[in-house]
Amino acid sequence: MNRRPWVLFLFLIFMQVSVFNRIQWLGVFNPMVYAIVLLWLPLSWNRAFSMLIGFAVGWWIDSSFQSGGIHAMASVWLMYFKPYWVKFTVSSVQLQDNPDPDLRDIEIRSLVSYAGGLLLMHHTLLYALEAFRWASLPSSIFRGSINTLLVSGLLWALIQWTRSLDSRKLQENRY
Amino acid sequence: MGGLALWLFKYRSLALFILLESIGAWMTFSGVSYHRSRLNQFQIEIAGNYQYRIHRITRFMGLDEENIKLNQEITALKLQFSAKNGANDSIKGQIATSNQQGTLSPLQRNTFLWPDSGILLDFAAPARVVFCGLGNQQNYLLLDQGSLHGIQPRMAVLQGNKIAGQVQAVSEHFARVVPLIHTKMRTSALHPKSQTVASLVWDGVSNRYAELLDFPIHIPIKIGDSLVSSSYSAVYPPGLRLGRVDRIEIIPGAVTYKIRVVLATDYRQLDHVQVIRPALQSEREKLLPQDLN
Repeated sequence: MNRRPWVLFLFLIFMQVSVFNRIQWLGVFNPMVYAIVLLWLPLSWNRAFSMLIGFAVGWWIDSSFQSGGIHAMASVWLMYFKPYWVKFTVSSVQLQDNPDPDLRDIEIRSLVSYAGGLLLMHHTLLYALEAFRWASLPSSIFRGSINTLLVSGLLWALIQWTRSLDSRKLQENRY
Repeated sequence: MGGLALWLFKYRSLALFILLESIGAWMTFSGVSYHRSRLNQFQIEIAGNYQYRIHRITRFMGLDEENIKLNQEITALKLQFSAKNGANDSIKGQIATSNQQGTLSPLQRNTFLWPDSGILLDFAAPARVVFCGLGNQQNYLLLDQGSLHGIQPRMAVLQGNKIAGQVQAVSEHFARVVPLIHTKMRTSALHPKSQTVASLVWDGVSNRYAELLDFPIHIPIKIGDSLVSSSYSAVYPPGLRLGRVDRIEIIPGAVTYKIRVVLATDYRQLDHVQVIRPALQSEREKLLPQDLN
């Protein structure tokens, strides 16, 4: 669990509040990168504790967004659903070997359904709560999918980057 | 209590999930005016829908009473209208002369026109069908009005401008009506296009259909042609709807068609009716030999 890039998490939340909140391109592109942090948190943590962390992060984003509690609700939902979702998407063999897989350890096909699915649900729920009317549900799903693609791309880049950092660190330790 | 605590402990993560989501929802609805107004709208819509449904049910319950009132009102308005407009001039003249000569009974002096048909009447009253026998060869209806309300035998029973039957006998509070669907009932019907009179009888099979007898084959008639009451009848005023032609059969060698007629009155749904008597009915019937009535 110490392998999590904790500094990166703090940086992402900081970036969400200071930079990504201000991106509202075409009224569609509004990526929620803090969801990466929630996704990357260890599965081995107590679920109640995870949910409280999710609530705290969501609340923090909400207070900077002036959006009441919709981020808190979506984040708590993500943290609650994550342990169920991982059983659906990641192979049971892998989960037996390592019940708390880091995102970097999961093979790419499982990662797409695991991270992509959770991000899509989180984003869609968030935009639906934001619009809060049935008629806007299709547009919420559309915005959710677009932003999920963006955030997934960023997540993929971060995974590659931290992997290269780790391997460099390992090499330094070896010598 | 212990059971509840155990249950809560078992589902503690779900409980916490619900709690946190509720806090989030509360924060949203108390903090953001847009969400608050949407919630208000939603509540109003739900409450409005509920009230509307309740209202529809209660309105439906009250429909029965409403219909009685409407039927009374319609008859009252028709009477009022006829009192104002009076009969048309020629008939008025005739009645006035008869009045001067003293040949009219007191009842017949108060004649009036039934609106939108131009029929001269001396009695009209609303009534409701309280019994309607349909399964027999000789059916009859019961009305909730009797001699106390002025109903007498040989009055016509209408549903709007459709003929339902004629009063056969009355008690103080009820009247027995012979409908068109009675095998011994024979009504003279006019085919307005050709001005031909034939008789309408019921064959005792279906309460929607009757048969038109004695319609000669040299006179053109089409499916869908309407049939109205003729002026030959002393009971029914002329021009009221009886039905329309549904099927025409040509019988080889016969001089008349076999015509099936859809009756205008649907006896399965007969409820509110009007009882009327054409003016000068008794005077007219006095002249006819008794066995013809």
